[in-house]
Amino acid sequence: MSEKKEKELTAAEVLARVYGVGMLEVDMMLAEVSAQDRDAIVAAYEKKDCTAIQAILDKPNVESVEAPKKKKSKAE
Amino acid sequence: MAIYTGHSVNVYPDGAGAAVLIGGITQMDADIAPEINSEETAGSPYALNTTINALKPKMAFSTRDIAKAISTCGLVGLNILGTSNPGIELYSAQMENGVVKSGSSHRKVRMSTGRLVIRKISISHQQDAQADMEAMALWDGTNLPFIPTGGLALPGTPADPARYTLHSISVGGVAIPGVQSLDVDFGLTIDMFGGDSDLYDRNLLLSKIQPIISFTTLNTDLFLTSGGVPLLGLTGTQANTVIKLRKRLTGATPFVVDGTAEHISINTAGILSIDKAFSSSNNKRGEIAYKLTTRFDGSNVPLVFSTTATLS
Repeated sequence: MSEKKEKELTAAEVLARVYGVGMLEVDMMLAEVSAQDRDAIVAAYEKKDCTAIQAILDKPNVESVEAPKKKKSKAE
Repeated sequence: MAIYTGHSVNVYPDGAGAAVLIGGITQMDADIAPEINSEETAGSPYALNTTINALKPKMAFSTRDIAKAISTCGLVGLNILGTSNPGIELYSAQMENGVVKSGSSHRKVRMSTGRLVIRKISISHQQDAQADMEAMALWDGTNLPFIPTGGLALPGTPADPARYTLHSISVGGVAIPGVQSLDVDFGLTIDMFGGDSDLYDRNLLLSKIQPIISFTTLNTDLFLTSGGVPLLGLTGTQANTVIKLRKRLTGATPFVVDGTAEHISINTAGILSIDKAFSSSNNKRGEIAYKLTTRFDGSNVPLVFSTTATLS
Protein backbone atom coordinates (compact mmCIF):
# COMPACT_ATOMS: atom_id res chain seq x y z
CA MET A 1 0.00 0.00 0.00
CA SER A 2 1.57 3.21 -1.10
CA GLU A 3 1.64 6.50 0.79
CA LYS A 4 -0.57 7.96 -1.93
CA LYS A 5 -3.25 5.34 -1.25
CA GLU A 6 -3.19 6.08 2.50
CA LYS A 7 -4.04 9.74 1.76
CA GLU A 8 -6.98 8.72 -0.37
CA LEU A 9 -8.69 6.92 2.51
CA THR A 10 -12.13 8.08 3.54
CA ALA A 11 -13.33 8.46 7.11
CA ALA A 12 -15.42 5.32 6.64
CA GLU A 13 -12.39 3.30 5.60
CA VAL A 14 -10.41 4.68 8.53
CA LEU A 15 -13.05 3.58 11.03
CA ALA A 16 -13.13 0.12 9.46
CA ARG A 17 -9.35 -0.10 9.84
CA VAL A 18 -9.20 1.20 13.38
CA TYR A 19 -12.26 -0.52 14.87
CA GLY A 20 -12.54 -3.59 12.66
CA VAL A 21 -16.24 -3.06 12.05
CA GLY A 22 -18.06 -3.53 8.78
CA MET A 23 -19.38 -0.74 6.60
CA LEU A 24 -22.90 -1.23 7.95
CA GLU A 25 -21.75 -0.22 11.43
CA VAL A 26 -19.37 2.41 10.05
CA ASP A 27 -22.34 4.14 8.42
CA MET A 28 -24.10 4.18 11.79
CA MET A 29 -20.99 5.58 13.50
CA LEU A 30 -20.67 8.36 10.93
CA ALA A 31 -24.37 9.18 10.70
CA GLU A 32 -24.06 12.34 12.78
CA VAL A 33 -20.43 13.22 12.10
CA SER A 34 -19.93 16.42 10.12
CA ALA A 35 -17.85 16.65 6.95
CA GLN A 36 -15.25 18.65 8.86
CA ASP A 37 -14.97 15.99 11.55
CA ARG A 38 -14.71 13.29 8.90
CA ASP A 39 -11.66 15.08 7.51
CA ALA A 40 -10.32 15.30 11.05
CA ILE A 41 -10.74 11.54 11.45
CA VAL A 42 -8.64 10.91 8.33
CA ALA A 43 -6.03 13.42 9.50
CA ALA A 44 -5.84 11.77 12.93
CA TYR A 45 -5.40 8.36 11.33
CA GLU A 46 -2.51 9.62 9.23
CA LYS A 47 -0.85 10.69 12.50
CA LYS A 48 -1.68 7.25 13.97
CA ASP A 49 -3.65 9.04 16.68
CA CYS A 50 -6.49 6.64 17.44
CA THR A 51 -7.31 8.51 20.68
CA ALA A 52 -8.14 11.61 18.66
CA ILE A 53 -10.44 9.57 16.42
CA GLN A 54 -12.33 8.28 19.44
CA ALA A 55 -12.58 11.83 20.80
CA ILE A 56 -14.17 13.02 17.56
CA LEU A 57 -16.70 10.20 17.65
CA ASP A 58 -17.48 10.95 21.30
CA LYS A 59 -18.16 14.63 20.63
CA PRO A 60 -21.77 15.63 21.20
CA ASN A 61 -23.46 16.55 17.95
CA VAL A 62 -23.66 20.35 18.02
CA GLU A 63 -26.39 20.63 15.40
CA SER A 64 -28.70 18.19 17.15
CA VAL A 65 -28.27 20.04 20.46
CA GLU A 66 -28.98 23.44 18.94
CA ALA A 67 -31.95 22.39 16.82
CA PRO A 68 -34.54 22.25 19.66
CA LYS A 69 -33.56 25.79 20.79
CA LYS A 70 -34.31 27.21 17.35
CA LYS A 71 -37.68 25.49 17.27
CA LYS A 72 -38.47 26.87 20.71
CA SER A 73 -37.67 30.48 19.69
CA LYS A 74 -39.89 30.13 16.60
CA ALA A 75 -42.81 28.96 18.76
CA GLU A 76 -42.33 31.87 21.08
CA MET B 1 -46.98 -32.14 5.41
CA ALA B 2 -45.30 -28.85 4.77
CA ILE B 3 -41.73 -28.85 3.49
CA TYR B 4 -39.40 -25.89 3.83
CA THR B 5 -36.04 -25.02 2.29
CA GLY B 6 -33.49 -22.49 3.40
CA HIS B 7 -34.00 -19.10 1.78
CA SER B 8 -32.02 -16.13 3.10
CA VAL B 9 -30.83 -14.22 6.11
CA ASN B 10 -32.13 -10.71 6.63
CA VAL B 11 -29.91 -8.47 8.77
CA TYR B 12 -31.61 -5.32 10.00
CA PRO B 13 -30.48 -4.07 13.40
CA ASP B 14 -31.54 -0.77 14.95
CA GLY B 15 -29.65 2.16 13.47
CA ALA B 16 -29.07 0.54 10.10
CA GLY B 17 -30.28 2.54 7.14
CA ALA B 18 -31.79 -0.47 5.41
CA ALA B 19 -32.05 -4.23 5.70
CA VAL B 20 -29.21 -6.34 4.28
CA LEU B 21 -30.51 -9.51 2.69
CA ILE B 22 -27.72 -12.06 2.55
CA GLY B 23 -28.04 -14.58 -0.25
CA GLY B 24 -25.65 -17.08 -1.81
CA ILE B 25 -26.30 -19.31 1.19
CA THR B 26 -24.99 -22.85 1.08
CA GLN B 27 -25.86 -23.91 4.63
CA MET B 28 -28.06 -22.50 7.38
CA ASP B 29 -28.81 -23.66 10.89
CA ALA B 30 -30.85 -22.28 13.75
CA ASP B 31 -29.43 -24.11 16.76
CA ILE B 32 -31.24 -24.03 20.08
CA ALA B 33 -28.55 -26.04 21.90
CA PRO B 34 -30.48 -26.93 25.05
CA GLU B 35 -28.58 -28.11 28.09
CA ILE B 36 -30.81 -30.63 29.82
CA ASN B 37 -29.85 -31.98 33.21
CA SER B 38 -30.75 -35.60 33.66
CA GLU B 39 -29.01 -37.09 36.66
CA GLU B 40 -29.48 -40.44 38.26
CA THR B 41 -29.15 -40.50 42.04
CA ALA B 42 -28.64 -43.22 44.63
CA GLY B 43 -31.30 -45.89 44.60
CA SER B 44 -32.30 -45.58 40.94
CA PRO B 45 -30.41 -46.04 37.69
CA TYR B 46 -33.00 -43.78 36.09
CA ALA B 47 -33.12 -40.02 36.22
CA LEU B 48 -36.23 -39.02 38.14
CA ASN B 49 -35.85 -35.36 37.25
CA THR B 50 -35.05 -33.87 33.89
CA THR B 51 -34.60 -30.14 34.00
CA ILE B 52 -33.63 -27.43 31.57
CA ASN B 53 -30.47 -25.71 32.70
CA ALA B 54 -29.73 -23.48 29.73
CA LEU B 55 -30.48 -22.71 26.12
CA LYS B 56 -27.74 -21.33 23.87
CA PRO B 57 -29.48 -20.31 20.66
CA LYS B 58 -27.35 -19.33 17.71
CA MET B 59 -27.69 -19.06 13.97
CA ALA B 60 -24.94 -20.43 11.77
CA PHE B 61 -24.83 -20.03 8.03
CA SER B 62 -22.38 -20.03 5.14
CA THR B 63 -22.51 -17.74 2.15
CA ARG B 64 -20.70 -17.31 -1.15
CA ASP B 65 -21.48 -13.59 -1.01
CA ILE B 66 -18.36 -12.82 0.98
CA ALA B 67 -18.30 -9.15 -0.05
CA LYS B 68 -21.64 -8.63 1.63
CA ALA B 69 -20.55 -10.67 4.63
CA ILE B 70 -17.42 -8.53 4.99
CA SER B 71 -19.20 -5.21 4.56
CA THR B 72 -21.84 -6.28 7.08
CA CYS B 73 -19.57 -7.66 9.78
CA GLY B 74 -15.97 -6.57 9.26
CA LEU B 75 -13.53 -8.30 11.57
CA VAL B 76 -15.27 -7.86 14.93
CA GLY B 77 -18.85 -8.45 13.83
CA LEU B 78 -22.07 -6.52 14.07
CA ASN B 79 -23.95 -5.71 17.24
CA ILE B 80 -27.55 -6.81 16.85
CA LEU B 81 -30.25 -4.90 18.64
CA GLY B 82 -33.71 -5.29 17.21
CA THR B 83 -36.23 -3.14 19.04
CA SER B 84 -37.43 -0.85 16.26
CA ASN B 85 -36.05 -3.14 13.53
CA PRO B 86 -36.20 -6.94 13.34
CA GLY B 87 -32.55 -7.74 14.19
CA ILE B 88 -31.67 -10.92 12.28
CA GLU B 89 -34.20 -13.12 10.52
CA LEU B 90 -33.45 -16.54 9.11
CA TYR B 91 -36.05 -17.26 6.45
CA SER B 92 -37.21 -20.66 5.21
CA ALA B 93 -39.45 -21.01 2.18
CA GLN B 94 -42.36 -23.42 2.01
CA MET B 95 -42.32 -25.68 -1.02
CA GLU B 96 -45.35 -26.81 -2.98
CA ASN B 97 -45.16 -29.26 -5.88
CA GLY B 98 -41.40 -28.97 -5.83
CA VAL B 99 -41.16 -25.18 -6.03
CA VAL B 100 -41.55 -22.19 -3.73
CA LYS B 101 -45.17 -21.76 -2.70
CA SER B 102 -46.69 -18.43 -3.59
CA GLY B 103 -48.18 -16.15 -0.98
CA SER B 104 -47.63 -15.86 2.74
CA SER B 105 -46.88 -19.34 3.92
CA HIS B 106 -43.21 -19.06 4.77
CA ARG B 107 -41.39 -18.99 8.06
CA LYS B 108 -38.65 -17.18 9.89
CA VAL B 109 -36.71 -17.43 13.09
CA ARG B 110 -35.95 -13.99 14.46
CA MET B 111 -33.13 -13.02 16.79
CA SER B 112 -33.57 -9.58 18.30
CA THR B 113 -30.41 -9.27 20.38
CA GLY B 114 -26.90 -10.62 19.98
CA ARG B 115 -23.93 -10.41 17.67
CA LEU B 116 -23.29 -11.50 14.10
CA VAL B 117 -19.72 -12.44 13.18
CA ILE B 118 -17.72 -14.10 10.44
CA ARG B 119 -15.90 -17.13 11.80
CA LYS B 120 -13.89 -18.08 8.74
CA ILE B 121 -13.38 -17.44 5.05
CA SER B 122 -12.10 -20.42 3.10
CA ILE B 123 -11.08 -20.83 -0.52
CA SER B 124 -9.36 -23.47 -2.64
CA HIS B 125 -7.67 -23.32 -6.02
CA GLN B 126 -10.32 -22.76 -8.71
CA GLN B 127 -13.11 -23.00 -6.13
CA ASP B 128 -15.40 -20.29 -4.81
CA ALA B 129 -14.75 -18.53 -1.52
CA GLN B 130 -17.16 -19.08 1.32
CA ALA B 131 -17.73 -17.20 4.57
CA ASP B 132 -18.91 -19.12 7.62
CA MET B 133 -20.99 -16.83 9.81
CA GLU B 134 -22.50 -17.13 13.25
CA ALA B 135 -25.00 -15.10 15.25
CA MET B 136 -25.16 -15.80 18.96
CA ALA B 137 -28.40 -14.76 20.65
CA LEU B 138 -28.86 -12.92 23.92
CA TRP B 139 -31.91 -12.43 26.09
CA ASP B 140 -32.88 -8.82 26.70
CA GLY B 141 -35.12 -9.69 29.61
CA THR B 142 -38.30 -9.42 27.54
CA ASN B 143 -37.97 -10.86 24.05
CA LEU B 144 -37.02 -14.50 23.75
CA PRO B 145 -33.66 -15.08 22.03
CA PHE B 146 -35.34 -16.91 19.15
CA ILE B 147 -38.85 -16.06 18.00
CA PRO B 148 -40.38 -18.35 15.36
CA THR B 149 -43.09 -16.92 13.10
CA GLY B 150 -45.08 -18.50 10.29
CA GLY B 151 -47.49 -17.31 7.63
CA LEU B 152 -45.04 -14.83 6.14
CA ALA B 153 -44.18 -13.51 2.71
CA LEU B 154 -40.56 -13.96 1.73
CA PRO B 155 -38.34 -10.87 2.06
CA GLY B 156 -37.56 -10.72 -1.66
CA THR B 157 -35.27 -12.74 -3.85
CA PRO B 158 -31.88 -13.10 -2.20
CA ALA B 159 -29.20 -11.60 -4.36
CA ASP B 160 -26.41 -13.96 -5.26
CA PRO B 161 -24.33 -11.47 -7.14
CA ALA B 162 -20.82 -12.77 -7.25
CA ARG B 163 -18.29 -15.46 -6.62
CA TYR B 164 -14.72 -14.85 -5.50
CA THR B 165 -11.69 -17.07 -5.74
CA LEU B 166 -7.95 -16.98 -5.10
CA HIS B 167 -5.69 -14.45 -6.76
CA SER B 168 -2.44 -13.81 -4.89
CA ILE B 169 -0.66 -13.72 -1.56
CA SER B 170 2.24 -11.45 -0.73
CA VAL B 171 3.86 -11.35 2.70
CA GLY B 172 6.57 -8.89 3.66
CA GLY B 173 6.84 -7.99 -0.01
CA VAL B 174 7.54 -11.62 -0.99
CA ALA B 175 5.07 -13.01 -3.50
CA ILE B 176 4.01 -16.56 -2.63
CA PRO B 177 2.73 -18.28 -5.79
CA GLY B 178 0.99 -21.59 -6.41
CA VAL B 179 -1.60 -21.26 -3.64
CA GLN B 180 -3.79 -24.34 -3.29
CA SER B 181 -5.96 -23.48 -0.31
CA LEU B 182 -6.49 -20.57 2.02
CA ASP B 183 -8.28 -20.32 5.36
CA VAL B 184 -8.76 -16.99 7.11
CA ASP B 185 -9.79 -17.86 10.65
CA PHE B 186 -11.05 -14.69 12.33
CA GLY B 187 -9.98 -16.07 15.73
CA LEU B 188 -12.83 -14.52 17.71
CA THR B 189 -13.15 -15.77 21.26
CA ILE B 190 -16.62 -14.78 22.40
CA ASP B 191 -17.49 -15.39 26.04
CA MET B 192 -21.19 -15.58 26.86
CA PHE B 193 -22.51 -14.53 30.27
CA GLY B 194 -25.67 -14.99 32.25
CA GLY B 195 -26.57 -14.97 35.93
CA ASP B 196 -29.16 -15.79 38.54
CA SER B 197 -29.65 -19.15 36.83
CA ASP B 198 -31.49 -17.46 33.98
CA LEU B 199 -31.83 -19.89 31.12
CA TYR B 200 -30.37 -17.52 28.56
CA ASP B 201 -27.17 -15.54 28.32
CA ARG B 202 -27.63 -11.81 28.70
CA ASN B 203 -24.22 -10.48 27.70
CA LEU B 204 -21.17 -11.34 25.67
CA LEU B 205 -17.55 -10.32 25.47
CA LEU B 206 -15.09 -10.40 22.61
CA SER B 207 -12.27 -11.41 24.92
CA LYS B 208 -9.71 -12.25 22.24
CA ILE B 209 -9.33 -11.50 18.55
CA GLN B 210 -6.45 -13.45 17.03
CA PRO B 211 -6.89 -14.04 13.33
CA ILE B 212 -4.78 -16.80 11.82
CA ILE B 213 -4.32 -17.18 8.08
CA SER B 214 -3.33 -20.66 6.90
CA PHE B 215 -2.49 -21.59 3.34
CA THR B 216 -0.74 -24.23 1.29
CA THR B 217 1.20 -23.82 -1.95
CA LEU B 218 2.97 -26.01 -4.46
CA ASN B 219 6.16 -23.95 -4.45
CA THR B 220 8.11 -25.75 -1.77
CA ASP B 221 11.31 -24.14 -3.08
CA LEU B 222 10.34 -20.88 -1.38
CA PHE B 223 11.72 -22.26 1.90
CA LEU B 224 15.13 -20.58 1.72
CA THR B 225 17.84 -19.34 4.02
CA SER B 226 17.41 -15.91 2.48
CA GLY B 227 15.24 -14.31 -0.17
CA GLY B 228 12.18 -16.47 0.41
CA VAL B 229 10.66 -17.60 3.68
CA PRO B 230 13.43 -18.58 6.12
CA LEU B 231 13.30 -20.98 9.06
CA LEU B 232 12.43 -18.23 11.54
CA GLY B 233 9.66 -16.91 9.32
CA LEU B 234 8.95 -13.65 7.61
CA THR B 235 7.64 -10.44 9.13
CA GLY B 236 4.87 -8.66 7.29
CA THR B 237 3.38 -5.21 7.75
CA GLN B 238 0.06 -3.77 6.64
CA ALA B 239 1.92 -1.96 3.86
CA ASN B 240 3.56 -5.03 2.33
CA THR B 241 1.30 -7.94 3.22
CA VAL B 242 -1.86 -8.51 1.25
CA ILE B 243 -4.11 -11.36 0.16
CA LYS B 244 -6.18 -10.70 -2.92
CA LEU B 245 -9.30 -12.48 -4.04
CA ARG B 246 -10.56 -12.09 -7.57
CA LYS B 247 -14.16 -11.62 -8.48
CA ARG B 248 -15.64 -13.98 -11.03
CA LEU B 249 -18.00 -13.05 -13.80
CA THR B 250 -20.93 -15.13 -14.88
CA GLY B 251 -20.49 -16.09 -18.53
CA ALA B 252 -17.66 -16.69 -20.92
CA THR B 253 -15.40 -14.03 -19.41
CA PRO B 254 -14.10 -15.70 -16.28
CA PHE B 255 -13.09 -12.72 -14.14
CA VAL B 256 -13.82 -9.05 -13.61
CA VAL B 257 -11.08 -6.97 -15.23
CA ASP B 258 -8.10 -6.55 -12.90
CA GLY B 259 -8.31 -2.77 -12.90
CA THR B 260 -11.97 -2.67 -11.92
CA ALA B 261 -12.38 -1.94 -8.22
CA GLU B 262 -14.62 -4.90 -7.40
CA HIS B 263 -12.12 -7.42 -6.08
CA ILE B 264 -11.34 -8.11 -2.42
CA SER B 265 -8.12 -7.42 -0.57
CA ILE B 266 -7.11 -8.36 2.96
CA ASN B 267 -4.17 -6.44 4.37
CA THR B 268 -2.56 -7.73 7.50
CA ALA B 269 0.53 -7.59 9.70
CA GLY B 270 2.24 -10.41 11.53
CA ILE B 271 4.65 -13.29 11.24
CA LEU B 272 4.51 -15.82 8.46
CA SER B 273 5.86 -19.13 9.66
CA ILE B 274 6.25 -22.38 7.81
CA ASP B 275 4.10 -25.03 9.40
CA LYS B 276 5.28 -27.84 7.16
CA ALA B 277 8.24 -27.24 4.86
CA PHE B 278 7.36 -30.27 2.77
CA SER B 279 4.48 -32.68 2.79
CA SER B 280 3.82 -35.44 0.29
CA SER B 281 2.45 -38.94 0.08
CA ASN B 282 3.33 -41.80 -2.29
CA ASN B 283 4.51 -40.35 -5.57
CA LYS B 284 2.31 -37.29 -5.32
CA ARG B 285 3.40 -33.69 -5.59
CA GLY B 286 4.56 -32.00 -2.41
CA GLU B 287 3.10 -28.98 -0.67
CA ILE B 288 4.33 -26.38 1.78
CA ALA B 289 2.01 -25.20 4.55
CA TYR B 290 2.19 -21.70 6.00
CA LYS B 291 0.63 -20.02 9.00
CA LEU B 292 0.37 -16.24 9.26
CA THR B 293 -0.18 -15.14 12.85
CA THR B 294 -1.55 -11.63 12.67
CA ARG B 295 -1.28 -8.69 15.04
CA PHE B 296 -2.74 -5.24 15.70
CA ASP B 297 -0.12 -2.70 14.63
CA GLY B 298 -1.43 0.17 16.75
CA SER B 299 -3.67 1.78 14.18
CA ASN B 300 -4.93 -1.05 11.96
CA VAL B 301 -6.87 -4.08 13.13
CA PRO B 302 -5.25 -7.41 12.15
CA LEU B 303 -7.44 -7.90 9.09
CA VAL B 304 -8.18 -4.82 6.98
CA PHE B 305 -10.67 -5.58 4.23
CA SER B 306 -11.47 -3.80 1.04
CA THR B 307 -14.30 -4.93 -1.21
CA THR B 308 -13.32 -2.34 -3.81
CA ALA B 309 -9.78 -3.48 -4.51
CA THR B 310 -8.05 -3.73 -7.86
CA LEU B 311 -5.65 -6.52 -8.84
CA SER B 312 -2.11 -5.95 -10.00
